[in-house]
Amino acid sequence: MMRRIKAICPPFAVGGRCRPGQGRLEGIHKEALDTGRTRLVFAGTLFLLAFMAIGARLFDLALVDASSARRHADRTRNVGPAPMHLRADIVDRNGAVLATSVISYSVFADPARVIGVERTALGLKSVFPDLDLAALRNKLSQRRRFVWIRRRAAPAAYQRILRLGLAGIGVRKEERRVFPYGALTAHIVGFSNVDGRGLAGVEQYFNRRLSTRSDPLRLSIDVRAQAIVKKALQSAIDTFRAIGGAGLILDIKTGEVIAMVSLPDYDPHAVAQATSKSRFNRNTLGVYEMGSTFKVFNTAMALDYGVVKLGDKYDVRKPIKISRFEIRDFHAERHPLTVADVFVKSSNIGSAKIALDVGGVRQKQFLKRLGLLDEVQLELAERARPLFPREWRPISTMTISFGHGIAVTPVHLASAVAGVANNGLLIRPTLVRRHPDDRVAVRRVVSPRVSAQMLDLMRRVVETGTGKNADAPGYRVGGKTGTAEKASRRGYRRKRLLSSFVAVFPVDAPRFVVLASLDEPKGNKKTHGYATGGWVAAPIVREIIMRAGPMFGIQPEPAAPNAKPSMMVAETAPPARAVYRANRRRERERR
Amino acid sequence: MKLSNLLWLAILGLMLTGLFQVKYEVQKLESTLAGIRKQSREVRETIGILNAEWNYLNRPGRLAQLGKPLGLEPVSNDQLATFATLPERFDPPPAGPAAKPVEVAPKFTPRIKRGRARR
Repeated sequence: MMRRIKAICPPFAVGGRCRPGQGRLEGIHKEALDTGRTRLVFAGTLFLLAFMAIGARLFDLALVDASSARRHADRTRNVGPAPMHLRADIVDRNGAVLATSVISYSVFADPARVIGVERTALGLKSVFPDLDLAALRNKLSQRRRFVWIRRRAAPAAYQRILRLGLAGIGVRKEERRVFPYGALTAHIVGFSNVDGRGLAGVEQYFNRRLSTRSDPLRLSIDVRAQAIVKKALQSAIDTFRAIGGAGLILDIKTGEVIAMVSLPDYDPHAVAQATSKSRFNRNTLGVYEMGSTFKVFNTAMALDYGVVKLGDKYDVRKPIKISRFEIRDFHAERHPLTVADVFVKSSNIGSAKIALDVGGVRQKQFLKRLGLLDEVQLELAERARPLFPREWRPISTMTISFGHGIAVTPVHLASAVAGVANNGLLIRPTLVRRHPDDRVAVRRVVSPRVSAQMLDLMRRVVETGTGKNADAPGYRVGGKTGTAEKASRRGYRRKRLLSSFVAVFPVDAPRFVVLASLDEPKGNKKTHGYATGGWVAAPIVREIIMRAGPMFGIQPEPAAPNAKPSMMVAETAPPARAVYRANRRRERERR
Repeated sequence: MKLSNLLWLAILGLMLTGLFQVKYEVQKLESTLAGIRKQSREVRETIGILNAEWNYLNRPGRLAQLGKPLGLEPVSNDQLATFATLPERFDPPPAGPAAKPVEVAPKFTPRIKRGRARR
């Protein structure tokens, strides 16, 4: 140790030179050497600590905290701009794109940087031939620093603009929402504004999900079924000169809405030009007195409470007079009718009497259980509450038994019928795809036995009753007609009807509920002037089932022999101006 | 002593070159990555547009129009069958000169209207 030190010259020796052979260090030299050593050790320790800190941090970054370091690196390194976040697609149950966002290119100009107005204007005109040259010149010579030349141009135009290399002309990327199926799915999908905010339909209801997640939202809708329903409905509207119509297909087992059409409809790309009437979704926003289709619930209710049996007889020979109202049947019966016949022949008098035997309190409870007194449950922004009397008097009980004095949406009706048909288990309807093995909440509304009885009765309506026009050859369809006089400012109108038909098919193993309704249809020669549900709405349902049945692979059954022509039934009921006013108000609100 | 200094110097030199190489390699890779990302973004945008167009061209109404001149019609339920509804299969008759094939089902005639070719 000592020997080595001897060989080292003191680094800070004052006035001394390091000479070889100098034996011993003494005095001032030794002191200087000690100071030097101390400093050396001190500096060395410092460096050692610093390198250890760096080493520790490296270790930390590389092994312990690797993921956050990687994120930081990803953020800071230069690999081009992050991809534009696009609103998620909306697709149908088979993946057909109902709404998608595409990138479009908007061309703008900064007039201050434009070199040669004429040359630039001509260049732009060569890309967009429909632009006006004079207007273009005017735009390019303005004093502002920013003018739009063309919003949302095609990508090809963007490439050509770039190639022209005009000074002061720039391009900005913008998101554009496209609805490939246009009006066909407009009432379901809805639309969104320029900033990508949903303003109607699913676009509005799922706005947050669509703007935060990028995977497509899969709906329960099938565009093919949608097209079938729309075509059938549209041709009936044309034939019977109706002002509108609604149609839907509901999967009984899963509660999925397969198709839902409201006519007139609108083009979601030109919402501003759409009228409020065409924007109005009749299926979820319109509430209507559905008429005799409600007898499905009335009969099921009486059977389920055990108040009546199918064979019990009711005297329906005389109209019921109560205060200033009179409940009549379209065809007066000369014999008492059984409960089954009251349903199949659609007797208002019989239904009213059955309802009175059940009682208003239990009737209200039953309708509540079917969801007919609560807001419609569907994933749409447009949802309506049913209208029903606040005071449930005996007259209400009677009229509600045949679907007057209570107004519900078509979705309410279809969902409740599906509940009765689904072995008595009600499922919440949905617009979002459900998987067959998904567990869904169900509510028992009637017993399995009553469900089977109702299916049998509904089949008889189509076989021998008012709904013969819905009998699709090869399929066993069950259903119920409904013809309601529409509420207007001056009470009910005989000539203004809402004619509907609700079907369950196939009745032996219920898969679908199909509902069609026409607003103010007019009878023609073929229907002998009738515009009732059996004549105008039942054929729509038949058409839908004939085309959609094979599409869903429903096997036909041996054809049943044809029966006699059907008998039509109409109803009357006390005025309910509220219904008329509520629908007008909703229409106004949608503007 | 000199040897160890030289050794350290050599190590230092090697490390410098290595670091230099790695840095430039990373820069090159990053620019390649940026290029690929840009390309994939553009391709994805194009796919989005093409997908929208494809769906637009597949509107059911348009397909029905296109199918008309080909004589195509909507499927009807009497065209559906399951194995259960097929007629039972017979064993072939014993070989003999007079044996004629047994017709087990009515001849299948496709329900296709022969469309007149336009133009």
